[in-house]
Amino acid sequence: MKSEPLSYLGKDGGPWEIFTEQVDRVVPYLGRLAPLAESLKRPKRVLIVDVPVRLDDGSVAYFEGYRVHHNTARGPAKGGVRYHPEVTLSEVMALAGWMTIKNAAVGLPYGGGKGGIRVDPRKLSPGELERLTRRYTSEIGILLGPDRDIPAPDVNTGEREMAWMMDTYSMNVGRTVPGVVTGKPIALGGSLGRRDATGRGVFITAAAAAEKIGLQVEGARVAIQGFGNVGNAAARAFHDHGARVVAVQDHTGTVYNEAGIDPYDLLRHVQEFGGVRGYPKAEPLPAADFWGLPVEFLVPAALEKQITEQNAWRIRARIVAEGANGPTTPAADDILLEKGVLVVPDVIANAGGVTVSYFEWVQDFNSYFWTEEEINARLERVLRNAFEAVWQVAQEKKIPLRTAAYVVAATRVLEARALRGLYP
Amino acid sequence: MAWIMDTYSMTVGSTVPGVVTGKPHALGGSEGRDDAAGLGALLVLEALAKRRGLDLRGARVVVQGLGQVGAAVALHAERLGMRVVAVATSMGGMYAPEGLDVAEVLSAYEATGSLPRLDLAPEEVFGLEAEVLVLAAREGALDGEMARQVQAQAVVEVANFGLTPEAEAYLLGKGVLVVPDLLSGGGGLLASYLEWVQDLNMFFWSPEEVRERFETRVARVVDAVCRRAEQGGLDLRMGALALALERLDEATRLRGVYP
Repeated sequence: MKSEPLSYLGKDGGPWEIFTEQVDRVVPYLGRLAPLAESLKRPKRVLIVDVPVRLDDGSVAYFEGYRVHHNTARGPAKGGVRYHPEVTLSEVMALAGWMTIKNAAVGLPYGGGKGGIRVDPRKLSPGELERLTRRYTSEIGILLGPDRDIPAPDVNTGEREMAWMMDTYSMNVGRTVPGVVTGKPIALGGSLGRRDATGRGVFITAAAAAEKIGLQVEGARVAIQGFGNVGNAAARAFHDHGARVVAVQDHTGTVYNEAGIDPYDLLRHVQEFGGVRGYPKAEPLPAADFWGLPVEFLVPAALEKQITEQNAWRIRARIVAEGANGPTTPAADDILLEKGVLVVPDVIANAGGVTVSYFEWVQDFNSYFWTEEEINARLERVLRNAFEAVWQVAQEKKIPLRTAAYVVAATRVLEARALRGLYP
Repeated sequence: MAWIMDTYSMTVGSTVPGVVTGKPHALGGSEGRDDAAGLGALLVLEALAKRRGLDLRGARVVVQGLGQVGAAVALHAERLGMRVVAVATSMGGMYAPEGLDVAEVLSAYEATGSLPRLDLAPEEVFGLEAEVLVLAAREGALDGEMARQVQAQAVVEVANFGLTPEAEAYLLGKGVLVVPDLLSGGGGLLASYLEWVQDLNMFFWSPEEVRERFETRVARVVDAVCRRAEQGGLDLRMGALALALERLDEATRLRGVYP
């Protein structure tokens, strides 16, 4: 009997439909596991909760909250919680599915989950936000637990919200459980090295890719789009390993210096003036010229859909390392492939963050905390292994790294599913 | 083990890899588990031989029994610089005084279910000229009578109760190094323990890290058993038993009688 498609999203599938299409595209490479791919097109569980909050003016506002476990074959559900007025069930489901893929691609012992509240957090006071977070945490508490489901920060949530979530869960179960969320402040069981983790990961995977194509990091030129947490940590890592960061672009402008920009110095400028514009030790450049710069590494670390069919043909870099999520459109991907530009896909390139989240959770289990050196060494090992596995599959099957990452991930998830069998 | 883990996990509602050991690697199994029993037996043998001043480099090894453990012992013996001169199954033994190519023999055995060549009857392998005899077949494989043929300087009891008490008494009397099952057979259990620790932490070690921790613990156990045996003038089996029972007794006494 054929399984019916999911009914609860209605006619317009939204982002979830895009996710299932991505799954379909990987199926031809899954061999004997292909029949199990259907299990990826159905989330394991979906919880919709009502989140009433008493506002500062005494009235009560009601918000829609979600928590989705997409797949837990490889371990507990793991994925962030976002606060955004456009959050929908379909989006949360798709993001949960994407976490299943990402965790498996990196080789972390997690399944995929995601949560969200349909709310514009800018319209709430800190007190209202705290009540919202605490009520939401209690409502989804039936799914949470360090061995069941471990939320993390996402859009519009951070250390503050994670601290509230940890406290609420802990109060509800009657003891302190730091391992129930990651991305906590250090004082509450957060991990060292988390802030720089994603940027470091971008460098580690880009360097691993460079090794494969015989490209030297030392002396190589690097252009970075975005100078937030990810962009500036990546810039520092490249700089520390002897590469030259020649161009940086952010929302305020683009700066260029062929001799190289010291990212530590630029960071001081950005902290003072709010952006790279006006940085005195480099020249300004029109934004559009950024993409065609003569560099070896290009790191899009800002927003999604930055490399499009409009600018992809201008790119002269040999390696594009995706620090942001989804910075390359599928059409641009095809152009880069044709031009022979190696794209290190977001799934592994920006996985440093979730990897250190994983380390945080492991440390919380043990109540024993590692040094920053230990964390960085382990981060490098995890990401290098992840890259190597994806590279091997890409070579074997003659497919781009992005497809290979999905193949590796889907294979790992379905392998676990096959080994575990169908309950009962 | 995968089914057991899945069923338990589904029943409690969350993934609990640590509830069973011996799982596939993809579900929280450990590196190096498959051949841990074989490796453990050989590491114990090495450590004991060293204490006795017995040089195992180039030593001739006879392996009786080619199940998972026997096969792993044969492979590791070769890797550790010994020479596997004979292997035997219940059908008979294959013998080459200059040494067998273990990997080749094993793959043939795996593919066809029998050894490529049978040179000896099953019992004849006990009397072969060799430094090490490994018993990896079944209980009571070597009895008092057959023990008289043994020329090896070390007999490793990998299968539980591989030696009959008479055989052991005879060999000990002759000054042969007898490595009892209690001591040599712990590798599989030790690997299970390391798997469980990794599952509890959900943090998984590299093959090198597993190997290092495995070796450290084997060395520690051998040391403790030898010291206990020397202290009481006991053989290794009695030493291991005494140590185990004393540990159990200590824990029982410390905990007291409930309530």
